[in-house]
Amino acid sequence: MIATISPQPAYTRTIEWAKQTTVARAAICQSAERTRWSAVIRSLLELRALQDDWDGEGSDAPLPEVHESAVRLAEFLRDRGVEWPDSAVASRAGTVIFAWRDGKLYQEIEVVGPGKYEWLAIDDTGGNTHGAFSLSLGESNIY
Amino acid sequence: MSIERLVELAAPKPASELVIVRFLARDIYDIGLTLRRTFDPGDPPGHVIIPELNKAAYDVRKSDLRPLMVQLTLMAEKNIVFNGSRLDA
Repeated sequence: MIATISPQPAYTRTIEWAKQTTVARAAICQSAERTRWSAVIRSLLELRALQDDWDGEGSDAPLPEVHESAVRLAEFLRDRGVEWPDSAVASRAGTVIFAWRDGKLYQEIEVVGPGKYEWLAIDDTGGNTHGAFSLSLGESNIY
Repeated sequence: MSIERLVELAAPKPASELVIVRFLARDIYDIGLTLRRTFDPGDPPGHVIIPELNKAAYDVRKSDLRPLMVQLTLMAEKNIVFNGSRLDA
């Protein structure tokens, strides 16, 4: 099933989606959480060094604009109290994927282009929902 | 084939960058994927690929394949037999 997020303001859609999922397990971003997000952002910055074929298997490196959107998304989620992801990694397709795990629940946001995002949620039965959204987040403070 | 031999075959990729997992073929078929034997020179004995998971297919059928890839990853996490990133730990 494709669940495209309804045409609400992009900012509202993302926050509502985050609230409705276990991504928002921690409603308030405490200092420790900011520290964890900082670690996530640091690891994202390290992805800038990747070049095509970075894994020796022919994978694409994230484009600079994809990478910047990933960093900006991390800042956006951090500043709104969303719990840090369990992983934030480059994919073979040149995208960046944030993933959250909670028991048998799995959720991810994939940065597929400048301001372009796709999400996927898999529940404890293995069923999945997914969709896409656009979000204009401005420029990162650190990029 | 031993894990040590697999690590050797991955050269020049350093062992510290390798993660080796063990799957049952049945489990891969159970989630809707298949296996195909390859005969390329240099492939280790019994080498197989999952033909559904290639970049061209992914670009076209991403919404179908991405959940399967995640499922495969979750299965893999439970069956790690070698984790090179822990060699220095």
